[in-house]
Amino acid sequence: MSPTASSSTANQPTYVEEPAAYLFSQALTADEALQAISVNIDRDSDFLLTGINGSSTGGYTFNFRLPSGRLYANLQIPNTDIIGTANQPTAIGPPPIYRAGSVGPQVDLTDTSGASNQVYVLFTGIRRIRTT
Amino acid sequence: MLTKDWIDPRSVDWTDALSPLRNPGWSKNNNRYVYQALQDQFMQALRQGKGIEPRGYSCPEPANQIIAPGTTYDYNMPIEPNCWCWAVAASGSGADFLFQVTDSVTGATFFSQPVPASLMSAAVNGTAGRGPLFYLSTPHLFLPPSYPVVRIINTQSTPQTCRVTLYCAVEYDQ
Repeated sequence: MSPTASSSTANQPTYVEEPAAYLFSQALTADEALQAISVNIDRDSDFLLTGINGSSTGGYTFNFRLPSGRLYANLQIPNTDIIGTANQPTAIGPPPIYRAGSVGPQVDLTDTSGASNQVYVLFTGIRRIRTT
Repeated sequence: MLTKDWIDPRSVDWTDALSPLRNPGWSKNNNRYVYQALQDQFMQALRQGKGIEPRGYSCPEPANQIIAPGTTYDYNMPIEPNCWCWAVAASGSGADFLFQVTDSVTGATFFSQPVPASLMSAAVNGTAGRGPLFYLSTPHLFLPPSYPVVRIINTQSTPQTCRVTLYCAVEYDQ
Protein backbone atom coordinates (compact mmCIF):
# COMPACT_ATOMS: atom_id res chain seq x y z
CA MET A 1 0.00 0.00 0.00
CA SER A 2 1.34 3.42 -0.87
CA PRO A 3 0.12 6.21 1.41
CA THR A 4 -1.33 9.32 -0.25
CA ALA A 5 0.02 8.58 -3.67
CA SER A 6 -1.52 11.67 -5.19
CA SER A 7 -0.83 15.28 -4.34
CA SER A 8 -1.49 16.26 -0.75
CA THR A 9 -2.01 19.93 -1.60
CA ALA A 10 -4.90 21.58 0.21
CA ASN A 11 -8.26 21.22 -1.56
CA GLN A 12 -6.92 18.30 -3.53
CA PRO A 13 -8.46 14.89 -2.90
CA THR A 14 -6.12 12.35 -1.43
CA TYR A 15 -6.07 8.69 -2.27
CA VAL A 16 -4.74 5.44 -1.03
CA GLU A 17 -3.66 3.05 -3.71
CA GLU A 18 -3.68 -0.70 -3.45
CA PRO A 19 -3.13 -3.52 -5.91
CA ALA A 20 -6.35 -4.85 -7.39
CA ALA A 21 -7.42 -7.61 -9.75
CA TYR A 22 -10.86 -8.24 -11.18
CA LEU A 23 -11.44 -11.77 -12.41
CA PHE A 24 -13.67 -12.37 -15.39
CA SER A 25 -14.82 -15.96 -15.77
CA GLN A 26 -17.05 -17.28 -18.52
CA ALA A 27 -17.87 -20.72 -19.83
CA LEU A 28 -18.44 -20.55 -23.57
CA THR A 29 -20.17 -23.13 -25.67
CA ALA A 30 -18.84 -23.95 -29.13
CA ASP A 31 -18.71 -20.82 -31.33
CA GLU A 32 -20.68 -18.84 -28.77
CA ALA A 33 -20.49 -15.05 -29.01
CA LEU A 34 -21.26 -12.82 -26.04
CA GLN A 35 -21.28 -9.07 -25.85
CA ALA A 36 -20.95 -6.34 -23.21
CA ILE A 37 -20.57 -8.53 -20.17
CA SER A 38 -19.96 -6.31 -17.18
CA VAL A 39 -16.98 -6.65 -14.88
CA ASN A 40 -18.41 -4.58 -12.09
CA ILE A 41 -16.11 -2.23 -10.26
CA ASP A 42 -16.35 -1.99 -6.48
CA ARG A 43 -18.23 1.01 -5.17
CA ASP A 44 -15.54 2.08 -2.76
CA SER A 45 -12.73 2.74 -5.21
CA ASP A 46 -11.81 3.63 -8.75
CA PHE A 47 -9.94 1.03 -10.75
CA LEU A 48 -6.98 1.86 -12.89
CA LEU A 49 -6.48 -0.91 -15.44
CA THR A 50 -2.84 -1.56 -16.23
CA GLY A 51 -2.69 -5.13 -17.50
CA ILE A 52 -4.51 -8.20 -18.73
CA ASN A 53 -3.65 -11.84 -18.40
CA GLY A 54 -5.62 -15.03 -18.43
CA SER A 55 -6.06 -18.61 -19.41
CA SER A 56 -8.57 -20.69 -21.30
CA THR A 57 -9.20 -24.20 -22.49
CA GLY A 58 -9.44 -23.09 -26.12
CA GLY A 59 -9.05 -20.20 -28.51
CA TYR A 60 -11.30 -17.17 -28.50
CA THR A 61 -11.40 -13.55 -29.58
CA PHE A 62 -11.71 -10.70 -27.14
CA ASN A 63 -12.50 -7.01 -26.88
CA PHE A 64 -13.56 -4.66 -24.09
CA ARG A 65 -14.86 -1.16 -23.50
CA LEU A 66 -12.87 1.75 -22.16
CA PRO A 67 -14.32 4.11 -19.54
CA SER A 68 -15.14 6.55 -22.35
CA GLY A 69 -17.52 3.96 -23.79
CA ARG A 70 -15.34 3.32 -26.80
CA LEU A 71 -14.20 -0.15 -27.64
CA TYR A 72 -10.53 -0.87 -27.07
CA ALA A 73 -10.03 -2.48 -30.48
CA ASN A 74 -11.63 -2.08 -33.87
CA LEU A 75 -12.55 -5.77 -33.82
CA GLN A 76 -12.14 -8.66 -31.44
CA ILE A 77 -8.50 -9.61 -31.00
CA PRO A 78 -7.42 -13.27 -30.84
CA ASN A 79 -6.56 -14.28 -27.29
CA THR A 80 -3.08 -15.25 -28.41
CA ASP A 81 -2.41 -11.63 -29.36
CA ILE A 82 -3.73 -9.82 -26.31
CA ILE A 83 -3.97 -12.09 -23.28
CA GLY A 84 -0.70 -11.98 -21.39
CA THR A 85 0.67 -14.29 -18.78
CA ALA A 86 0.69 -14.02 -15.02
CA ASN A 87 4.37 -13.25 -15.24
CA GLN A 88 3.89 -10.65 -17.95
CA PRO A 89 0.39 -9.25 -18.26
CA THR A 90 -0.23 -7.36 -21.49
CA ALA A 91 0.16 -3.68 -20.65
CA ILE A 92 -2.87 -1.50 -21.25
CA GLY A 93 -1.39 1.91 -21.53
CA PRO A 94 -1.94 4.71 -20.92
CA PRO A 95 -4.06 3.09 -18.21
CA PRO A 96 -7.79 3.86 -18.30
CA ILE A 97 -9.58 4.67 -15.03
CA TYR A 98 -12.92 2.98 -14.38
CA ARG A 99 -14.99 4.87 -11.87
CA ALA A 100 -16.20 3.27 -8.64
CA GLY A 101 -19.48 1.44 -9.10
CA SER A 102 -19.27 1.43 -12.88
CA VAL A 103 -19.83 -1.54 -15.15
CA GLY A 104 -16.09 -1.72 -15.77
CA PRO A 105 -14.47 -3.14 -18.88
CA GLN A 106 -17.50 -4.65 -20.55
CA VAL A 107 -16.25 -7.70 -22.37
CA ASP A 108 -17.08 -9.01 -25.83
CA LEU A 109 -15.80 -12.48 -26.59
CA THR A 110 -16.34 -15.22 -29.14
CA ASP A 111 -15.26 -18.83 -28.96
CA THR A 112 -13.10 -19.92 -31.88
CA SER A 113 -12.25 -23.38 -30.60
CA GLY A 114 -15.45 -25.00 -31.76
CA ALA A 115 -15.85 -26.70 -28.41
CA SER A 116 -16.79 -25.78 -24.88
CA ASN A 117 -14.30 -23.27 -23.58
CA GLN A 118 -13.65 -22.04 -20.06
CA VAL A 119 -12.22 -18.55 -20.21
CA TYR A 120 -10.54 -16.68 -17.39
CA VAL A 121 -9.34 -13.13 -17.83
CA LEU A 122 -7.71 -11.20 -15.02
CA PHE A 123 -7.87 -7.43 -15.21
CA THR A 124 -5.01 -6.23 -13.04
CA GLY A 125 -4.28 -2.75 -11.88
CA ILE A 126 -4.61 -0.39 -9.01
CA ARG A 127 -7.50 0.34 -6.71
CA ARG A 128 -7.66 4.01 -5.82
CA ILE A 129 -9.58 4.75 -2.62
CA ARG A 130 -10.39 8.36 -1.90
CA THR A 131 -9.59 9.25 1.69
CA THR A 132 -10.54 12.93 1.83
CA MET B 1 19.44 -11.22 -7.13
CA LEU B 2 21.97 -9.64 -4.81
CA THR B 3 23.83 -8.21 -7.75
CA LYS B 4 20.84 -6.09 -8.82
CA ASP B 5 20.42 -2.51 -7.79
CA TRP B 6 17.84 -1.84 -5.11
CA ILE B 7 14.84 0.13 -6.35
CA ASP B 8 12.78 1.76 -3.63
CA PRO B 9 9.16 0.70 -4.39
CA ARG B 10 7.99 4.13 -3.26
CA SER B 11 9.88 5.68 -6.14
CA VAL B 12 7.99 3.64 -8.75
CA ASP B 13 4.85 5.08 -10.30
CA TRP B 14 2.70 1.96 -10.15
CA THR B 15 -0.11 3.72 -12.00
CA ASP B 16 2.07 3.84 -15.10
CA ALA B 17 1.20 0.63 -16.91
CA LEU B 18 4.17 0.93 -19.21
CA SER B 19 6.84 1.75 -16.69
CA PRO B 20 9.65 -0.77 -17.12
CA LEU B 21 10.18 -0.69 -13.35
CA ARG B 22 6.76 -2.10 -12.52
CA ASN B 23 7.29 -5.40 -14.28
CA PRO B 24 10.24 -7.65 -13.43
CA GLY B 25 10.25 -9.03 -16.96
CA TRP B 26 11.03 -5.58 -18.32
CA SER B 27 13.98 -4.92 -16.08
CA LYS B 28 17.27 -3.81 -17.53
CA ASN B 29 18.85 -7.13 -16.72
CA ASN B 30 15.96 -9.30 -17.84
CA ASN B 31 14.92 -7.63 -21.07
CA ARG B 32 17.09 -4.69 -22.02
CA TYR B 33 15.31 -4.18 -25.33
CA VAL B 34 11.87 -3.64 -23.79
CA TYR B 35 13.42 -1.64 -20.96
CA GLN B 36 14.94 0.80 -23.42
CA ALA B 37 11.86 0.88 -25.66
CA LEU B 38 9.67 1.92 -22.74
CA GLN B 39 12.21 4.53 -21.64
CA ASP B 40 12.25 6.15 -25.07
CA GLN B 41 11.38 9.84 -24.71
CA PHE B 42 8.34 9.66 -26.99
CA MET B 43 7.14 6.58 -25.16
CA GLN B 44 7.57 8.39 -21.85
CA ALA B 45 5.50 11.29 -23.14
CA LEU B 46 2.75 8.88 -24.18
CA ARG B 47 2.87 7.07 -20.85
CA GLN B 48 2.36 10.26 -18.91
CA GLY B 49 0.28 12.36 -21.30
CA LYS B 50 -3.27 13.45 -20.65
CA GLY B 51 -6.06 13.00 -23.14
CA ILE B 52 -4.50 9.84 -24.49
CA GLU B 53 -6.39 6.57 -24.71
CA PRO B 54 -5.12 3.07 -25.43
CA ARG B 55 -6.35 1.41 -28.56
CA GLY B 56 -5.82 -1.86 -30.42
CA TYR B 57 -6.20 -2.29 -34.15
CA SER B 58 -6.43 -5.75 -35.59
CA CYS B 59 -6.61 -7.00 -39.16
CA PRO B 60 -7.76 -8.47 -41.42
CA GLU B 61 -11.43 -7.93 -40.88
CA PRO B 62 -13.18 -10.30 -40.37
CA ALA B 63 -10.57 -11.96 -38.19
CA ASN B 64 -11.19 -15.41 -39.62
CA GLN B 65 -10.61 -14.33 -43.22
CA ILE B 66 -8.73 -16.97 -45.16
CA ILE B 67 -5.57 -15.84 -46.98
CA ALA B 68 -4.97 -17.95 -50.07
CA PRO B 69 -1.61 -19.73 -50.40
CA GLY B 70 1.17 -17.66 -51.91
CA THR B 71 -0.85 -14.47 -51.99
CA THR B 72 -0.07 -10.99 -50.72
CA TYR B 73 -2.83 -9.21 -48.85
CA ASP B 74 -2.74 -5.47 -48.11
CA TYR B 75 -5.05 -4.04 -45.50
CA ASN B 76 -5.55 -0.31 -44.99
CA MET B 77 -6.06 0.00 -41.25
CA PRO B 78 -8.88 2.43 -40.43
CA ILE B 79 -7.25 4.19 -37.49
CA GLU B 80 -8.21 7.35 -35.65
CA PRO B 81 -6.20 10.56 -36.21
CA ASN B 82 -2.93 11.09 -34.37
CA CYS B 83 -2.36 7.45 -33.62
CA TRP B 84 0.87 6.32 -31.98
CA CYS B 85 1.73 2.66 -32.51
CA TRP B 86 4.02 1.26 -29.83
CA ALA B 87 3.76 -2.53 -30.17
CA VAL B 88 2.67 -5.26 -32.56
CA ALA B 89 1.51 -8.85 -32.23
CA ALA B 90 0.85 -11.54 -34.82
CA SER B 91 -0.80 -14.92 -34.85
CA GLY B 92 -2.55 -17.26 -37.23
CA SER B 93 -4.02 -20.65 -37.68
CA GLY B 94 -0.71 -22.35 -37.16
CA ALA B 95 1.78 -22.04 -39.96
CA ASP B 96 4.11 -19.10 -40.35
CA PHE B 97 3.55 -16.06 -42.59
CA LEU B 98 5.25 -12.78 -43.35
CA PHE B 99 3.99 -9.31 -42.51
CA GLN B 100 5.02 -5.70 -42.83
CA VAL B 101 3.56 -2.39 -41.63
CA THR B 102 3.97 0.70 -43.82
CA ASP B 103 3.08 4.36 -43.24
CA SER B 104 0.76 5.22 -46.13
CA VAL B 105 2.11 8.77 -46.51
CA THR B 106 5.79 8.64 -45.67
CA GLY B 107 6.36 5.10 -46.86
CA ALA B 108 8.25 4.31 -43.68
CA THR B 109 8.19 0.64 -42.82
CA PHE B 110 8.44 -0.95 -39.38
CA PHE B 111 10.84 -3.57 -40.67
CA SER B 112 13.47 -3.54 -43.44
CA GLN B 113 11.60 -6.40 -45.11
CA PRO B 114 8.53 -8.45 -44.23
CA VAL B 115 9.21 -10.40 -41.04
CA PRO B 116 8.03 -13.90 -40.12
CA ALA B 117 5.12 -13.84 -37.69
CA SER B 118 6.89 -16.56 -35.75
CA LEU B 119 9.53 -13.98 -34.81
CA MET B 120 6.89 -11.72 -33.32
CA SER B 121 4.57 -14.19 -31.68
CA ALA B 122 4.38 -14.95 -28.01
CA ALA B 123 5.93 -18.34 -28.27
CA VAL B 124 9.25 -17.21 -29.67
CA ASN B 125 9.92 -13.53 -28.96
CA GLY B 126 11.99 -14.45 -25.95
CA THR B 127 10.09 -17.03 -24.02
CA ALA B 128 6.48 -18.04 -23.96
CA GLY B 129 6.09 -16.42 -20.57
CA ARG B 130 6.91 -12.96 -21.82
CA GLY B 131 3.57 -12.03 -23.26
CA PRO B 132 2.35 -11.55 -26.81
CA LEU B 133 3.60 -8.04 -27.60
CA PHE B 134 6.64 -6.99 -29.60
CA TYR B 135 7.60 -3.47 -28.51
CA LEU B 136 8.83 -0.98 -31.07
CA SER B 137 12.02 0.78 -30.06
CA THR B 138 10.17 4.08 -30.40
CA PRO B 139 6.46 4.64 -31.09
CA HIS B 140 5.47 5.50 -34.65
CA LEU B 141 3.08 8.40 -35.18
CA PHE B 142 0.56 8.16 -38.00
CA LEU B 143 -0.20 11.80 -38.67
CA PRO B 144 -3.42 12.49 -40.59
CA PRO B 145 -4.07 11.63 -43.35
CA SER B 146 -1.63 8.80 -42.83
CA TYR B 147 -2.69 5.32 -41.82
CA PRO B 148 -0.94 1.96 -41.51
CA VAL B 149 -0.93 -0.44 -44.40
CA VAL B 150 -0.49 -3.97 -43.13
CA ARG B 151 0.88 -6.38 -45.71
CA ILE B 152 0.38 -10.08 -45.02
CA ILE B 153 2.06 -12.69 -47.18
CA ASN B 154 0.96 -16.28 -46.86
CA THR B 155 4.11 -18.17 -47.75
CA GLN B 156 2.53 -21.55 -47.16
CA SER B 157 1.09 -23.87 -49.77
CA THR B 158 -2.20 -24.05 -47.90
CA PRO B 159 -4.80 -21.39 -47.08
CA GLN B 160 -4.73 -20.05 -43.54
CA THR B 161 -5.81 -17.22 -41.30
CA CYS B 162 -3.15 -14.63 -40.52
CA ARG B 163 -3.73 -11.80 -38.08
CA VAL B 164 -1.73 -8.74 -37.13
CA THR B 165 -2.61 -6.47 -34.21
CA LEU B 166 -1.21 -3.00 -33.63
CA TYR B 167 -1.15 -1.64 -30.08
CA CYS B 168 -1.56 2.10 -30.12
CA ALA B 169 -2.46 5.23 -28.23
CA VAL B 170 -4.71 7.90 -29.70
CA GLU B 171 -5.01 11.55 -28.76
CA TYR B 172 -8.25 13.04 -27.53
CA ASP B 173 -9.14 16.50 -26.29
CA GLN B 174 -10.19 16.49 -22.67
